Amino acid sequence: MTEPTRDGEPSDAALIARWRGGDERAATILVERHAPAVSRFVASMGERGEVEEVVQDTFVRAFGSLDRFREASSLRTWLFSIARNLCRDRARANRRAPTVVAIDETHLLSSSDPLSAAVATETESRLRAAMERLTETQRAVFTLRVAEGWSYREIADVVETTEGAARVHYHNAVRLVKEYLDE
Amino acid sequence: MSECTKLEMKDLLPDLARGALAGPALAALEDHLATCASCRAELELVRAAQTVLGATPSVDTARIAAAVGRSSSIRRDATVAVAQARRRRAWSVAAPSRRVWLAAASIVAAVGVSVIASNTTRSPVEPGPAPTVAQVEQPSTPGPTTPEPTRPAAPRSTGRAELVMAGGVSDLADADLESLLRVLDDVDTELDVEPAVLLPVLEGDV
Ligand SMILES: [Zn+2]
Repeated sequence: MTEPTRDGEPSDAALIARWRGGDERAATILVERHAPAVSRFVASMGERGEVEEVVQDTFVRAFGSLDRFREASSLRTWLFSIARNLCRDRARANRRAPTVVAIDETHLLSSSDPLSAAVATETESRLRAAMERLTETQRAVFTLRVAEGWSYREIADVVETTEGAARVHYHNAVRLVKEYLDE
Repeated sequence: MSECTKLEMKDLLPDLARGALAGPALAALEDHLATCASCRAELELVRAAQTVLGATPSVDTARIAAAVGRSSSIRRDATVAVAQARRRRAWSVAAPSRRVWLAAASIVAAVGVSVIASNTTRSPVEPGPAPTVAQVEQPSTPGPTTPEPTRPAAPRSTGRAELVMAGGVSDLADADLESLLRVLDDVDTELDVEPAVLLPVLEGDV
């Protein structure tokens, strides 16, 4: 899969090949392409102030073991797998429950629901609290499906399970979040 | 409000909320939403979650890319160093380790000459008119203070250490040469990992 992507940009596989050939710029393009989503995921998994450190570590590790990366698989699922493992290691080391970070408190609900800003903020903060109560796997699945729009197949690769199990994790997560919000 | 059991509809709510649904799938979901309060409520939940989870933290991609570049260049250097070290070890079990060269460098520096050559695979420099080259061979028998090496002795034709000295052979006193040779004999010759920082010393003549 070395053909260009739809928007004419080189594919991940093509950039990896260029980087292996010594083109440092290819790594920069890959970082620019994937770092925003990885950073959202890392923040969603509970990193507080060290999101950039974890994202950097993710990329350094990924490029450091590119020889083990299979061409047929997706670079982004591989990056997210590394990021997830780093987040888990750090959560374990810190011996604390991961927390969903409030990136920007001024973000409001984007639905047509005429909620006031105060109510929206209150809703968001209750939602964060509800998501914090999910298991690490449920939270990863919920985040990748809802925030990134990934398929269950891709999500399964990141959380090391089957597509069907990823789907079950997702629906369990939604049900639990609803229950927590209703308490 | 009873819970909807049509999971195939719920599966699509994140895609709808992202505006990533079209065609028959979109039409079917919209039809379902018109009659299902449970899914409408879940759609609102998904949209709220997208807002909470969708904000992108600011990260310095240039800094991250630079870190990747630094890390990969260090790794490439280390790979080269290890490969070169293994090549050297392959031709001589008695090839001096990096500690030898550190020791050699300090000893030679003490007598005011510069060491610019290392163990090489090429033939010893032919004795000739050039007075600045000295060849130092491993002694065939250890000196009285040197313990018998446990490793097999290297063949003379391959285990040779060369010192190329700008100041000439007469600048290196016999005692200094003997010290150097004792160091060469005593050190461990294992050379599995070699830091890239030593390359300028090790590879001075490569
Ligand atoms: Zn429904």
